[in-house]
Amino acid sequence: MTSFLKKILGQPSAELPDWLKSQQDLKKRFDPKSGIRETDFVAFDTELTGLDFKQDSIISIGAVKLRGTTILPAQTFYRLVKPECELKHKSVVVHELTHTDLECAEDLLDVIGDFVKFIGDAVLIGHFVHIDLNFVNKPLQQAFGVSLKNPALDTSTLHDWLYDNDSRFARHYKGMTMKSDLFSMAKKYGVDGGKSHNAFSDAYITAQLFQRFAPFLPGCGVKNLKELLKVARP
Amino acid sequence: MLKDEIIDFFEKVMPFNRLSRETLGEMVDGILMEYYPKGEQILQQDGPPSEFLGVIKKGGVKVYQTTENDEEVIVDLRGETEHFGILSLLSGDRSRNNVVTIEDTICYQVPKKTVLAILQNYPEVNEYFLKSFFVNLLDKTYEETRKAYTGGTTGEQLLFSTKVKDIVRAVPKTIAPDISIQQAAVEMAANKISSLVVVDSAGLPLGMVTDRDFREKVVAEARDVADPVKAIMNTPLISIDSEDNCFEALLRMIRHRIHHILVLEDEKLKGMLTNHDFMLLQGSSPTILVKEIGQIKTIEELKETAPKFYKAVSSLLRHGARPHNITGMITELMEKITNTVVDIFEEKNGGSPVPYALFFFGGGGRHELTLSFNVKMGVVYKDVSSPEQQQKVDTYFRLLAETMNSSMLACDLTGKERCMKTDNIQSASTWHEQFKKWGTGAGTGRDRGFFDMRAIRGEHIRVNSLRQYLINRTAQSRGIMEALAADTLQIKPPLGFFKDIVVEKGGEHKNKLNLYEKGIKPLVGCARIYGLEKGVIRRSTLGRLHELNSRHGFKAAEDMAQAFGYLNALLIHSQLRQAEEGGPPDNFINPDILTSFERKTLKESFQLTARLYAEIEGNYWSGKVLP
Repeated sequence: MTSFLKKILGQPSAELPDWLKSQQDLKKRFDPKSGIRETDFVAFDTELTGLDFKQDSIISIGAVKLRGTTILPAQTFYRLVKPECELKHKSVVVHELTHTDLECAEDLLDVIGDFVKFIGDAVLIGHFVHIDLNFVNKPLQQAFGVSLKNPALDTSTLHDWLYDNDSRFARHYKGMTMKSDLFSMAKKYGVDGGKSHNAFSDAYITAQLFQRFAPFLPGCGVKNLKELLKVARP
Repeated sequence: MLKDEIIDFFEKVMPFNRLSRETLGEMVDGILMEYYPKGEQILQQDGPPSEFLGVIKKGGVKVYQTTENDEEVIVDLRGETEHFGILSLLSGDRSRNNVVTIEDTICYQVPKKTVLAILQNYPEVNEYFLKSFFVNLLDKTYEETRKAYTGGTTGEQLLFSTKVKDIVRAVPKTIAPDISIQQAAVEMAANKISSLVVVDSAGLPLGMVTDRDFREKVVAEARDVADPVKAIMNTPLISIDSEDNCFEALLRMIRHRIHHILVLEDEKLKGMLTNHDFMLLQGSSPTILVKEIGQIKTIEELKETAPKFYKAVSSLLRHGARPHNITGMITELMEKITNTVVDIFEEKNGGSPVPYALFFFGGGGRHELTLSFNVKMGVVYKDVSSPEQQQKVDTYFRLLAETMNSSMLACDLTGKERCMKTDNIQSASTWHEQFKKWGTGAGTGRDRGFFDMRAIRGEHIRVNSLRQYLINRTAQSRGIMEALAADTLQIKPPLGFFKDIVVEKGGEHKNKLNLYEKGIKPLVGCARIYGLEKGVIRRSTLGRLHELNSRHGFKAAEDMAQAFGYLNALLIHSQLRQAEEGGPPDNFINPDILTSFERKTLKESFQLTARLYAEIEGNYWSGKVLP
């Protein structure tokens, strides 16, 4: 490919930084047969200026690590990002992050760089995770022309799959709301996100939802990572 | 952020609340958070030891053991801010108990390494865990009160409050290290002792020789008896400082599997402690108390009994007795005392002019007395024909009742109510007459407790046949069942509209709950009704429930038994605390001091009663108000 074409296709002129390079060949290290309990996960969430992929961007990223289904509460990540576009009034109301709060925030690529280092080879967990992934990958694509290679699973998909495939699961939570947004889910499964409401607390709720769902998996024949990723595909 | 919230949480968890936020911060760095669905087994008895201390953030677990007969013995129920796994974490060999979640549970896991470091660096935390080997529920709920209470007058805390120096005996015989083995043996034989302490010229102890060393190291190894005794002495010497508490000493002896431990003061030999000394210290065992009561000859001597009761009960609790063992023991002792009083009475006034039997009814009949001792007794005697004879009998038993009531009162063994009312002293035919009226609408003196009457002195057959008469009548008369149901349903479970616990609104016991009247008695009543319906002859509530479950497939019986045991445990713990505070134990508890988990369990017990009531109401009660 000529450099001209590369430019057109968005291939960056710069060399990939180390933190991104090491994660590009993640697939080689990835063992789909490993057990769920032996897998490292990172539950994460982003907060955005809005949902328009073209215009909006990330304001904050929160994440917490899990070893199998055990949450590691000391291994957390929470950073604020300087917004690239105007904060909309509506989203300010939701996350209560104002321009003043974001003044000490950092550049998006710095934060994403640290986030990528934080997640390492872990499997990502998110609620409607494709949205978060898109917004994390957008600046990576723009700057380096690559995306995250980490496998990801979606707690919303996982929930629906369990509901359809495990009668015990359906019975266990019978008669409760079928709303699938994070808060309705948290309420339904008795998950507590802590005092604050931000990307971190949402990531923490997501991690706990995964904890709630995981015990049902072996009974449905989902025993290793490959099978899990199949049923919880974003 | 999250870390702060976890630190906030641990500030509510004993004994971590004694650590600074900074220390907690370091601890939290290594912490894990796990979720277990309801019914999941976290630890298995005799399985691998716990690698972490589990601290419950939300939910609850049941800690229990399975006996050889596959019987489940519940050690404890643990709820929010309580922990599990410390025993096996420390021992590192195997899990002592099964730990199973009884609801969806979120746990923080403090890794073994972190726990050990904290134990090493913070003696106050260490002490707490050592203590909780013995006292679980009591300790947890009433920690604060216990701290305020340091008198150490009950057996409860003796091991912790007594210092080694307070019970140490005289300095043991010593011997120089170069004396021959033979000479040492001669010394021991001459003094009729089983051990010698080897000391150097400055009097510092070097080691110890016991009988066992002579057997194992001299005779068995055919050693020359001219060798110096230091060749066979035991080192290192296991010792304890005289300022340490007895519990530490006992623990050390258990740990090193030794029966003697040397007591040092400023590194000098001060004395020796043996297993026997600890047995004396804990001289509050029920068997000793029974023996003591047996030797009592005057009412005066009986007066010291009540505090001994408390000691015996707390000792039983410490040894993991279950509530029904404890109520059984209290009842047993009460019988002994009653018999002693009658013995003393007969000594003075001679025997009864007619054949008779003295019986307990109500809780005493069921073996279910608690430390509020509300024992109720009655007498059934053989019908007499002549008025003169009747008068003689009346006088005799009136005097007996007076003696009984005043003795029990003097000994703090009854509350305001007299234990033996003259109304409850009747001839067999009068009793029959009385029972005949039950359920006909004109019944007077209807006391459901008579269904549980049990002879404790005299001709037992008289009581048994009277009880049988009552039971037979009940089987024939729907009226009596209805009356029983009405009586039982009169006391409503103390649940408010929003399912909160209803407490007394005023009076002496404001904001408290009469746990016996509102919690235990309704369960007893329900078990009695179902028991009578199915012809169960047993008296004790657990006995009735067991039979209802095993013979009649009565599903709720198991829950009822659990609730019954739980309520009794709660009551007895509360009573012990009242005794510790110097007041007479009653049936009231203050729900505010219960942990959230205990309160929840309490509410569930009441809800169970409410469900049983609804069923009984439907089945037995025609709705008419009974006199």
